[in-house]
Amino acid sequence: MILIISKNQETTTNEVIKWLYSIKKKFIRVHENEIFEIKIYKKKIFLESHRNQFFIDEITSVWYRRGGLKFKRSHYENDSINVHMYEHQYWLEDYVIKKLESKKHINKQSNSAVNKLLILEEARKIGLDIPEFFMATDTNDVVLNKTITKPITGNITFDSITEHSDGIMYTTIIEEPEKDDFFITFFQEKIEKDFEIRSFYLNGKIWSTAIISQNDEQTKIDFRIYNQNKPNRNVRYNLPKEIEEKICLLMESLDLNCGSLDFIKSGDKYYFLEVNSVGHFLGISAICNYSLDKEIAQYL
Amino acid sequence: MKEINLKKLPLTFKFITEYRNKNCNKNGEVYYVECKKYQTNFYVREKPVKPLVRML
Repeated sequence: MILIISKNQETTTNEVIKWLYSIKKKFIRVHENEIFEIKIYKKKIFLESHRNQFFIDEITSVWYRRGGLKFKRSHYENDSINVHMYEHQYWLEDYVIKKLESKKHINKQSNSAVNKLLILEEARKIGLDIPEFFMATDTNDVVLNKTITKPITGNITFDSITEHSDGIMYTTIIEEPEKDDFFITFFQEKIEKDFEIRSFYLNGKIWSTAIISQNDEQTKIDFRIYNQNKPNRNVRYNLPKEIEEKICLLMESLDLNCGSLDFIKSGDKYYFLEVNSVGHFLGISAICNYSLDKEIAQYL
Repeated sequence: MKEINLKKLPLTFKFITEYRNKNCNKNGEVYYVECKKYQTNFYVREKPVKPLVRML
């Protein structure tokens, strides 16, 4: 039995499930709003929510996509009992999560969220080229028109930031100085790109796509500002062997066995930008005919 | 969007791009439907498209 930890509204999960049906593999899909109670039946641990119930022993592989397993906690009136029971329940939950993560898996709930700053440093240590970066609270050291800023968070969207609109933070070039100080912000050297590359990594195997985004003013800085009328051309691409080897080293050092990596090709250099362990990949998978949803289903 | 106080926020907030959210779908078109088989209420309703490479 495969355990899929995801969200209700998650398209990639739907596509992988189609393949699981096709290759006749059984699965349990967990949504973000499920609260599990840890129970024991005949000395065996099982988890129960309003949608699902299963023994952890019957799970053979786990795909952590998004969300996470959440557990029901009991609270006690006596403070000292509460402190003890908090820890007692914590270790039970920890045991369940670690037991599940010790099975065959694609990514893990416990380390799926990645720190973009540490990853850049790790990538440099491994020998990948990265654009220079720094943090600042003013634009005094920012070289105008040659520096970009972007969020260091995984989530870059804002639901209902105004009454009728959502918001998104794309990569932006700094074109003018700021008079006032601001909260600590990430700045990075802007690289003149030949094109962008998005690579999907799964357990040592890499599928790359070149995104020809530099000829369109709209997608030049961030290809995710999609030009729906004239979409960027995306083509299959093979990264040099030594870059692929460094990707494997990076993913192993981060203890991630699945993720999407972004690169910029500039001259003969490949600049590493970031890793996203829960990113979208179905778009390029369909265009390049990589069938990454099938690869995931087969691996599980 | 109202003027935001950047003193308390990173500069990235100055560059947020806004787009109309789902609540603005006034013509009542349904893009996502509930699907029991895939256990989601967010199944994309779309016309089937056969990629060109599959027809070759």
